[in-house]
Amino acid sequence: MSTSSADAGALELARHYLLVDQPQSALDALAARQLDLDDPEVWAVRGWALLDLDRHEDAADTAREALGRWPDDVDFLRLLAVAEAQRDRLAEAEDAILAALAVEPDEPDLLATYADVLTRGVQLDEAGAVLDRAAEVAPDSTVVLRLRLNLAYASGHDDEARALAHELLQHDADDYQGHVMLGALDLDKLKLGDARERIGTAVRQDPASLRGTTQQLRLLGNPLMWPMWPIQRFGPGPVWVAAVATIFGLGAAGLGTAQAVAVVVWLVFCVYSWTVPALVERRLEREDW
Amino acid sequence: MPRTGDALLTPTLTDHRPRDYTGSIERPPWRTGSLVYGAILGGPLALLILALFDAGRLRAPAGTAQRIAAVCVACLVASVTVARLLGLDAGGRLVVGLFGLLAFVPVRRSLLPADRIRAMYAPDDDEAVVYESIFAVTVGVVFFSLLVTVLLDAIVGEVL
Repeated sequence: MSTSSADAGALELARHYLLVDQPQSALDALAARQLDLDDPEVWAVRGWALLDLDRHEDAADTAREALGRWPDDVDFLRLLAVAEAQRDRLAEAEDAILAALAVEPDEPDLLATYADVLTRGVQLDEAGAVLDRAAEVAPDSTVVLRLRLNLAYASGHDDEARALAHELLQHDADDYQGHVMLGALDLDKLKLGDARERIGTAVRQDPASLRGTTQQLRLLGNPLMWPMWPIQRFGPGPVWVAAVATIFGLGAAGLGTAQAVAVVVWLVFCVYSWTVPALVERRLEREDW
Repeated sequence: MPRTGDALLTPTLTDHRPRDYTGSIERPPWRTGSLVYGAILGGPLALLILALFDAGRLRAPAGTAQRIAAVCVACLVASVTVARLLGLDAGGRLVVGLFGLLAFVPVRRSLLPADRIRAMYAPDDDEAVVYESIFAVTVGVVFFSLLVTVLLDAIVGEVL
């Protein structure tokens, strides 16, 4: 049965809603008419709309049903992989994306999806190798760039991640992921003003997002947390090394009293660092209620 | 057509189980930075125990546990040997703590990717920052580690 012109219009409208990031409207447009279920486009729009609505299980079910009709369809295999990856069902996601790559081994979007699945599974070397192949095929792809950014951040290569985030923002100054990553990196470096600005820009785009990160910003901005800044900025290891070196340095220099004071200050700091952050966090949570 | 024997496209995640971010089924991890207290107070052995548990909770890949074990065991043996060679008794505790601190830096670095990935891909940003307190566990592990280190010290004393 061929799709009627009204059905074609509904499908076109649903596709449009999906493109302009209104997935619920896309689903409503599809539901308004009895569409031809033999048209893979109907299933694809429905599946990606469900995914955009974070209905990952429904999106995976839709992809599976569609694959029952079109078993080797690369788009449905990719939809299934993305939906399962969102549910952290990485074994299933990997199965699906490898089945798609068996059909189209050099398709950059498929390679990027596989790299994302591998990154989620903490297989960072493998993810890097897959991204290298994707970059060979599509050197200017922003999808590949995004995943390189994720990979660099996950690997702890913060300078590279910062450079990649800036590159992403050169493509689109409002890029959500670019701002979130720079915000996270600034937060780690304790550049609270910059972090607040970056995270604020991202939250304006998606007001429901980043509540945990925003809370962390509020926590670190609290005056009671200021003594904790060296640990946040340099990490606990280097701070401990500096403290121990200072204490012993004072002793070696024959400054016994100063050494005793340093030991007491350090012990007080240790107790402070164990107790105060939790108390401040609890206080902030109570304020939110 | 697929490339035959393409190592890049060989499954590696077949054993992966979905994460429970809510903490209702799986215990949330400890903050990797908090391992420093166990490292200082209990030395490399306490760090080894705590870091291995945390690696499990963070779902770090198998190689991570091996790296952690190699670093901590090397630092443990070195700490006991150095303390003996320097003829330290009470001061030996300090050497053990210093070697714990030395081991902490690469151990934390090994756990960083799993920790960041857990946070990056949490379904909800609130859940990305859910960690369990390490306080009580650290106290227990530190006492256990001190006991074992004293025994190890006695054995090394016999050998040297």
